[in-house]
Amino acid sequence: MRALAIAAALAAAVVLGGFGLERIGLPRAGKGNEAAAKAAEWLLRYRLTSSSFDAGGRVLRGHCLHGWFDGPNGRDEHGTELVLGGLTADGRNGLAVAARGPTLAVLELAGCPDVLGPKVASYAIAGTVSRALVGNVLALGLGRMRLLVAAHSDRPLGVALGDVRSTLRLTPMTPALARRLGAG
Amino acid sequence: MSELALGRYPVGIGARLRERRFVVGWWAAGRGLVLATAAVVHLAGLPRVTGERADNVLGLLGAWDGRWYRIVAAHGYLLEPGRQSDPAFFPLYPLLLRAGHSLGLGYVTSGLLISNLVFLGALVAFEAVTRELLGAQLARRTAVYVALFPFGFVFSMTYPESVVLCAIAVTTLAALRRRWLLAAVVAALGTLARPEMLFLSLPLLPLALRERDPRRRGLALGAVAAPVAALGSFSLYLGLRLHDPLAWTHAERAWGRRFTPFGFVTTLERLPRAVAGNTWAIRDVVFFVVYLALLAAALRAGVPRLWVLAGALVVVLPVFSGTFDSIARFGLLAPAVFWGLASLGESRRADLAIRTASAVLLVACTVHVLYVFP
Repeated sequence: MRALAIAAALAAAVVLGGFGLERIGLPRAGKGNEAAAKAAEWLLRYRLTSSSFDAGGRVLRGHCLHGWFDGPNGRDEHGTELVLGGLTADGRNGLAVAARGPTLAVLELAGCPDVLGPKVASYAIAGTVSRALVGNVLALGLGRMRLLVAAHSDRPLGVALGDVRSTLRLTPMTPALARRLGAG
Repeated sequence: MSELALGRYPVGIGARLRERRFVVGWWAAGRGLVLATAAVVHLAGLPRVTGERADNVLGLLGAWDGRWYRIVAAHGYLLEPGRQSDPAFFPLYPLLLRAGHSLGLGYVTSGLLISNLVFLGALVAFEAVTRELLGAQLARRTAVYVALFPFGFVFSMTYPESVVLCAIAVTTLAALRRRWLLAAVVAALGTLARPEMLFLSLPLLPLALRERDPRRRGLALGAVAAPVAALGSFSLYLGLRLHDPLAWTHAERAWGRRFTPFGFVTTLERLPRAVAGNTWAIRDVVFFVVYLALLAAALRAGVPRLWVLAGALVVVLPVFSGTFDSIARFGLLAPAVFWGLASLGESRRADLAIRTASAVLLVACTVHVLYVFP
């Protein structure tokens, strides 16, 4: 009985000692990084975003969809499609990942979940994310981009890139909506 | 007489250290091969790999998961459900990296120093444990083979394997010397580096049960339970920081690892696709088979059964996670594997063949880091 009590006490000391070591020795992730991780989680939970942004004085509205699409030769293709003010840019077969410059910037501004989500997640885990509160909105600094999220839930609300600022709405996908948008 | 009795027999220290000089020599030879190969790869200007620091001539050894340990050291833990994130990486090694960093060293440099220096300690302690358990001849060969083991380049990477091997050896040595408090502390620290340390409790249990005095027996049982308790401390930390006490295992899922009772079936089903995707996947299957053969050799050579069982768990259990990935590395933490190999090198010819083949393969395996994670 005494042996078991000593063993239990030693095990408890190990738990407390280990916890203390981790608590004192390891840094805590920055609040900006924590908010970015939650924002990424929001983005990656959705396949469709609706967005609007001002481009040269003209407000463009659009939606960005991540999923399967009818491709050439009857083969389905996996990727991202952005329909913006009647124009279509797509990043099927991973092209979105390879997209550079203006195309990538537009996909990010439009809040395309499979483009913006991984980028935000990467910053959250390995970068330094600055954080500024403006009213009820948090602005998270991800390099030269700012992701605007709701202060209490970290739900993405918009993206600011240079002088351009978009507003985003994450939309739950339904079968009817998918059919209407021509995606699976 | 043994290492832990040095304090009581100071006269023998010099002689004993001279006797163990060969360990330092083989450590230097093995690490020389690995470090020189990494430097040549860097200077040859070959393409960089994930996580490699281009500004470090030994940057190759800081690649792959080394980056994750640096992330934990620099930024702390953050769980991203469904994506690869850092709670999959245990905290002791990042703590050591931070300690090195606080002395003004870069994370990669401090990792390389820690891994390689601690590996020397691991070899010395492992040789002593082997001598105690299996005799001087086998101990000598074991130390040489561990120093040159083909996949042992990992001991020089910014990975925690050398720290865990050292913890395994020092814990065992302390237990054999009945210094249970020391055994508990080192076993706990080792578990905070890699979960494989949990299996050390198996061979320690009979030693603990041999204690008759209640106080000593309590400490001994506490030492046996220390790895589980240390894992509990990590879960407690993750629970309070990330609100998920099992974040370390949940994060593993993003790497395709999920333990299930029939996980080995999934592993076998996935194997053809894994090999088709990356031919190097066959590497871990080959090492898996080799490790099992070496464990059988260890059993035949008279290695205590619980050590063989602990080794088998280290090697076989990952197969239940749905993938063979990294089994070559996990097996480095199964002492019985090395004892099995040492038992095969009894004749002079076999010994020379193992040493030569190991050295050549050690260089080749170091180069292969360019193509696949260890």
